[in-house]
Amino acid sequence: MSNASDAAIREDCLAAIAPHVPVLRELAGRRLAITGGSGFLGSWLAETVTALNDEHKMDIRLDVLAYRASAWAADYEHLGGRPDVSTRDQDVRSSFEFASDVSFVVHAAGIPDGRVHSSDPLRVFQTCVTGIGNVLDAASKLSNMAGLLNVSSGLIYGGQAGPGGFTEDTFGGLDIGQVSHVYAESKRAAESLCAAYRSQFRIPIVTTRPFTFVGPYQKLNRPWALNNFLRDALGGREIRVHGDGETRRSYMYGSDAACWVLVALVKGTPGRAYNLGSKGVMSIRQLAEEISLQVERRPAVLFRTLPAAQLRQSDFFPSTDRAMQELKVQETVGISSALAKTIAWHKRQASC
Amino acid sequence: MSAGPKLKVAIIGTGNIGTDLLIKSMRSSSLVCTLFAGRNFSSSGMKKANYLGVNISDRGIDAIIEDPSVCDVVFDATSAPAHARHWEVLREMRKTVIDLTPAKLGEPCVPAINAESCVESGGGNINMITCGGQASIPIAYALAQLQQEIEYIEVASSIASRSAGPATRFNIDEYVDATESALLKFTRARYAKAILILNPAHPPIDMQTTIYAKMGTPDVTEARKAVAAMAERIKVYVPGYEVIVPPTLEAGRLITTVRVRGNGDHLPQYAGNLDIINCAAVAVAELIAARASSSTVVRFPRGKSNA
Amino acid sequence: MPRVTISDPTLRDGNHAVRHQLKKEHFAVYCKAADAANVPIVEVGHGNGLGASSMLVGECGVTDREILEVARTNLTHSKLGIHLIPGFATVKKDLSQAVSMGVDVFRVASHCTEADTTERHIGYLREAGKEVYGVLMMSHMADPQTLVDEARKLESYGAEGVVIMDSAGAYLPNDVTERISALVGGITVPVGFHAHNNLGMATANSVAAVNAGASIIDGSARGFGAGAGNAQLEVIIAVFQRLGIETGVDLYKILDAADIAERDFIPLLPSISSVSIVSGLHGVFSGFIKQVQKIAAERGVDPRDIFAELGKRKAVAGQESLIIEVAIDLQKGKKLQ
Repeated sequence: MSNASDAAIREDCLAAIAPHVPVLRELAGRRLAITGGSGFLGSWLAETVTALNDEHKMDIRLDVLAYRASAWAADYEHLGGRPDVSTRDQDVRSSFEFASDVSFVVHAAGIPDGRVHSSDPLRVFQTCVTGIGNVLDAASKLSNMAGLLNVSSGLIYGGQAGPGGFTEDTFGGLDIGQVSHVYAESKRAAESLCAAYRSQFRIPIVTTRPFTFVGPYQKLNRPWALNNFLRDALGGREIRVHGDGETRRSYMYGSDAACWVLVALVKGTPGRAYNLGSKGVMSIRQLAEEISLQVERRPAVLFRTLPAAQLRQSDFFPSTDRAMQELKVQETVGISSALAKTIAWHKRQASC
Repeated sequence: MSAGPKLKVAIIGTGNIGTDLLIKSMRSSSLVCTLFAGRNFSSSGMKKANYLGVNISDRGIDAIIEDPSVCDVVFDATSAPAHARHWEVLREMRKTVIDLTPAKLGEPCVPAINAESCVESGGGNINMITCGGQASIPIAYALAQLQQEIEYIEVASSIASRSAGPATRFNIDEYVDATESALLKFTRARYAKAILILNPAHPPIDMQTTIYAKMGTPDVTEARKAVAAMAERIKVYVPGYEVIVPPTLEAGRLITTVRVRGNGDHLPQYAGNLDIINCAAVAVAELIAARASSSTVVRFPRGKSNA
Repeated sequence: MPRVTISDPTLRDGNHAVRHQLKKEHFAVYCKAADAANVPIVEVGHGNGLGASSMLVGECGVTDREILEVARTNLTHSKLGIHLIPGFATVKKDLSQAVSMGVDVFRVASHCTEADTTERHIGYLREAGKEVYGVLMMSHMADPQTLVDEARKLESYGAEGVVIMDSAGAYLPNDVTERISALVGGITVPVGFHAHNNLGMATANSVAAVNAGASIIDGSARGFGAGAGNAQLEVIIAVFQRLGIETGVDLYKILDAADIAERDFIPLLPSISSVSIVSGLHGVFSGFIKQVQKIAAERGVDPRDIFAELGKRKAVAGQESLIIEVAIDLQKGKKLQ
């Protein structure tokens, strides 16, 4: 695990935030708490906030709360060891309090790992619903609560995407009562709870609905297509594509994700939701082929598809019109570059 | 049994095992649970403990670090990796830990066999092996005493699917490994094998464990006596323990089956697998308590035959 | 033309039929013959899979290591596959050895409602870069939606396909159509089917499975397998050929392979005994047979009535005590007549 700060990641963060520095000045001198701070998004947020502090002298104090925050800090000393970053081991299923001068909160605690959805759906539901309840409760006690951002999920939409991807105001059906939908349902319930707190406690809450991400800080053993492909390719093996190779996704790079989250936190309209993802739609097959091109040995791409699945549409990508128009955000890293950076990072990690 | 002050025990881990331990501790005349610590207050165990007026904390091991005098003995009902972290801390603090995870760090303890030496050894970490281990090892040990050498011991446990939560299911390998390693230690058999089967039958079945032994030409009558005597010793601390198939010779191997019906303290009766390891852990704690409050050497209760 | 991957468990399921006593030379000769016939996956081992040799389910005549060695040597085009059940096989003792010995395909199995016991093992094997499938045994004991839920769990753990087994040979073709369709509609990885022939339906069920969208089918030489046997491989290859379903298996060479199997290591060709029929009809685990017969004899009741009652009560392996209860109830019932 790399203890040294990674110059490439710093560069990426600076490039992403560059046009938004005036807007993000809203955070200067304030205290920002992130729950679920040890995950992918949390780590990129920490990188971005520390970039804002170092480059733009924003003096933001960051509180990283996570189930295993101290382990995260030990793994990433260049973040966890900084004076402007404090960590606290906190399970959101337990009620807790933020430091009294926290004025911004990003709630990113959750369990997106599909394996846990299968093996411990109860924990998933509790972490999502009880978790956000506790976070909202804690936030409602802050004197200077300026903004709370709920990191929800693109899975709440249910149904099929339109041709331009899921839009923030079209909701499809979810087959409730099935264990494989517990995560999506609990994220819906969480958004509902946010609406209740917003109404009753007047907490300014903005929602983002993330789709799929790519970048450093993503664990390769997580069970998503992208991670599997990267793991196969970096392991010198052929890339195996299961399910429907024509299913389409889009992949947003970490620095863009963190930047959009911070802009939404500061500039988003309370009560409104913004999709968080990339416009760059591609099929799983194209992704596999792209990864293959990027790895020296050019691993073969092998298809193990279920023919019948090809008749079903399980595309999962967002329309980002609302975010781009209202928040004036854009993507700075395209998929090829994102993959190259990610592969390079994993190689650097492996050689430590 | 002197009526001295109760032994202060802390329980880390507020899942089913921890909560059942809590109920058993509260029922014990020599133990008092002074801390019930986990990671989040929303677990049902936490709510129950709170309802019962027990001191609860969501700070886990930190609650003991912050107030070392809160307990003398710690029950660790978390997970093997978590226990490894806890032991580092508790060892420094010189706390005695009774470990209910398959971490295998401390002295493996089967009360009917070696409660005294585990408590006496003062190493501080007493490992309760696994539920299947608690059910089978004393029997395997009794058989091993009959004979110079056991070539092979096999232990196959069936537990109700409903009694096996996510942690059990995720750690089946650890269960097998810990059980086999303790089997070998206690019986000195050349090879050991442990099997775990989850049975989804409805209504849920009681825990059942079959022990197979390949050991030359054993005397079945002697084997039955030895096993019966050992079962009596186990029943002292596991009331629901029963030999349902006494040692029988089949194709040259000795086969015997035991069943554990739970006490139904916090968990349903069919969760005998969880009950037995908790009963064993509490038995060890009670021995520690008895010794701490007595001037004479207290022996571990032997059961009817006093063998 | 629709493509179906054949997986051949002659040397694994067949081991049940000879109480796991297949010899090294049997593995060698059949592997060679199956390889020559282009069978995609050849599955070998103890009937209950890797690490299952035990007094509980029967000791294997040859060690896992020896089996894998001889099979690996004799398979060049075909993939070497094994079956394993968590609780019997562990990563440390069994899977790591199998991985290092060059096993290509791992089928991680559980009872049809206990898929979450496979998470660790599937994860380990995917990390090792192996081809991994999830298997749901005794699948008739769960309704189609439950099978889909369990299959989704397997998929989430990294299984690259899900195979359901008709372990008791209880299905009729419509049952298979219903379940395979549900799975095909509910998961995104390939679906497979493993038939047993208790009701003489193994071939028809395998065809129904393919028609419903299954793309992995198990079949063994002469149907050599537990109880009434599996789908007879040579037969389904011929049938698939007639139906235009591409398998890549050479018909004549698989016929030769089956001849070799019969000649060399199948002492008794699979047939559908009375007990098989009754246990299949009532969907009862075939492993009860010995005990049912023993207890029926002791108490003077008809073993077939015991099976019927066990089926009604959805008995599962491990409920041997239930057999005695049922027998006693039947005795009482008889007395009242």
